[in-house]
Amino acid sequence: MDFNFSTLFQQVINGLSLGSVYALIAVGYSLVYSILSFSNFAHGGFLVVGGYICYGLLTGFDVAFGREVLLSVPSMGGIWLAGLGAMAGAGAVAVLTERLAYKPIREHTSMTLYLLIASMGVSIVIENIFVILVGGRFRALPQGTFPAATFDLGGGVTVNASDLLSLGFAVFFLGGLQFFLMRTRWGLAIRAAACDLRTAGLMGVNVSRLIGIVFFVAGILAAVGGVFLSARYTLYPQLGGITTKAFVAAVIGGLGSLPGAVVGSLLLGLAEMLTAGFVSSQMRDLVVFSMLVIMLLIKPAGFFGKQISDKI
Amino acid sequence: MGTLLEVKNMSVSYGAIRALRGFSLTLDEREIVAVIGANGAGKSTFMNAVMGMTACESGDVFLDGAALPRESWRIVRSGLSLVPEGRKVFTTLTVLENLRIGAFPLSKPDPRDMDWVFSLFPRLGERREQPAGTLSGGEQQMLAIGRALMSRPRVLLLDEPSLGLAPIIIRDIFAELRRINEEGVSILIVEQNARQALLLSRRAYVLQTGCLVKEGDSKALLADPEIKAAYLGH
Ligand SMILES: Nc1ncnc2c1ncn2[C@@H]1O[C@H](COP(=O)(O)OP(=O)(O)OP(=O)(O)O)[C@@H](O)[C@H]1O
Ligand SMILES: [Mg+2]
Repeated sequence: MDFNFSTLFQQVINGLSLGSVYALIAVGYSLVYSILSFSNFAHGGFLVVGGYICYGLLTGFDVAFGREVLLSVPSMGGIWLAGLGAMAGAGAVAVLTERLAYKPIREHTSMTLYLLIASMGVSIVIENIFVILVGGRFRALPQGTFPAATFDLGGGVTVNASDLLSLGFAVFFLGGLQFFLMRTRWGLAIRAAACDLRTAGLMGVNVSRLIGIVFFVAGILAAVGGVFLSARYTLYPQLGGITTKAFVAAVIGGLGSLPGAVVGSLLLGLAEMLTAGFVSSQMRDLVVFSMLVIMLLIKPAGFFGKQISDKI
Repeated sequence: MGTLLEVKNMSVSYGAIRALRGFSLTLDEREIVAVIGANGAGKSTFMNAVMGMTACESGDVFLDGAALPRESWRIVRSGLSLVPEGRKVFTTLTVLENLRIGAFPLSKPDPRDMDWVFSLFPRLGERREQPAGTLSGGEQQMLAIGRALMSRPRVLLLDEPSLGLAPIIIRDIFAELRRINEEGVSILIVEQNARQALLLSRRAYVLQTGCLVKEGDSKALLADPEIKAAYLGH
């Protein structure tokens, strides 16, 4: 493929759009990491839950039952309601996962390795629930869910409305998260807990509720990512595997750091799309994991990794 | 002056280690009480158990005659506030944010609380936008005390506030503790620096490997030959 300015421009837009979806996923994952110091591998499961709830609401749950058992929501505001449902559902599943699988472990040991292993288990459970419930088929969101328009910017450069939409929504939700963390009472408590969870409890913060809130927020963000991923690709029970990319982005940006997760995600999205545009689509993952290896070699803490500077 | 805080027969073990054995203590309204003891005597264990941070085998804590709840966050809401050992300020948050999180239990924080903290420790006011991790050790200790006051506690608990500080800073901080007490806050302080703690407090308890070995008026303990030899050095 020859170098060509319009391809470059187009791939940059695509890359930012993909990167912003990664960012939604990476930020939630990083948020949980910043509080509980373990990689929550079930995070991809939350995304799948969100995707299927959205799909189900849009199609009237014919997936599960083979016929329309419910009034499907397109007539009632379509993607907006389905999206809200997906967010609420994935948030609830995230909270439930914490309460049923992680809380009992947290109460018995401070070894985060057990949490990591439990999260792998939950991830497998969620994936298989969907295999049993709806089968392993690839499913596309119904036509017309998102506007299919493309904008011609001249010079052969076109931009998909859906790319702009996912970029816009990602910015909206990341901005909302930033507002929540910086401007509200519970946001302040979450930032304090990220610094020192135990001491946050001494401030009169109900730590158990705080962790619940963190998982709910992570679930919401994962659902938004899940909806846009199912629109971009398709929906299937293993879609959560794409979280690996978000993990990589979070590590590159610095585990536990939210700005890091966003920067890492955008870099990764750009790298993927530029590789796809100028080298070959097959090389995308190679580039992603090479970036991870290089980052771990030269700056293992990532761009914004936690510096240990406590004064004793 | 009635009894404000009462700890009855508290025992804590870590596996086979019995860190605290049947310790009882009372703190009157507006009183300052000290617990002194060497390294590993069980002082921090006691404070953490009172605050619900460490589970105890036995023991009851009463505030104004009513049993304290079990969870730390409820204990803070009922009027106890701990300045933990090693200060534990939130290093990534600014001085102002550290004070604001201290007021978390209050439904309507009063700006005058923060003014009061700044009047006690003017150096905090000058550094209000600075991340707490960039403060000196002494300033971090002041911040930890200020943060604990923001929840308007009836009892302020301090775990070794003198740890690692220069004598002149220790004198400053202890002078402010006296001012805080004069404003009506009762103080329970745990210290290795026995001299300072005994000078500050009205009564004191002496802990040795988890057991109470002596208690009494701080003045009397300061003059006690055994205490002098074991805890006051010279
Ligand atoms: N989490 C823990 N697990 C096991 N043993 C512990 C734990 N915390 C404290 N201990 C033990 O309990 C005993 C009392 O410790 P504690 O920290 O209460 O002493 P301290 O009086 O506060 O000492 P210092 O003056 O050094 O702070 C010590 O023998 C200590 O080793
Ligand atoms: Mg101690």
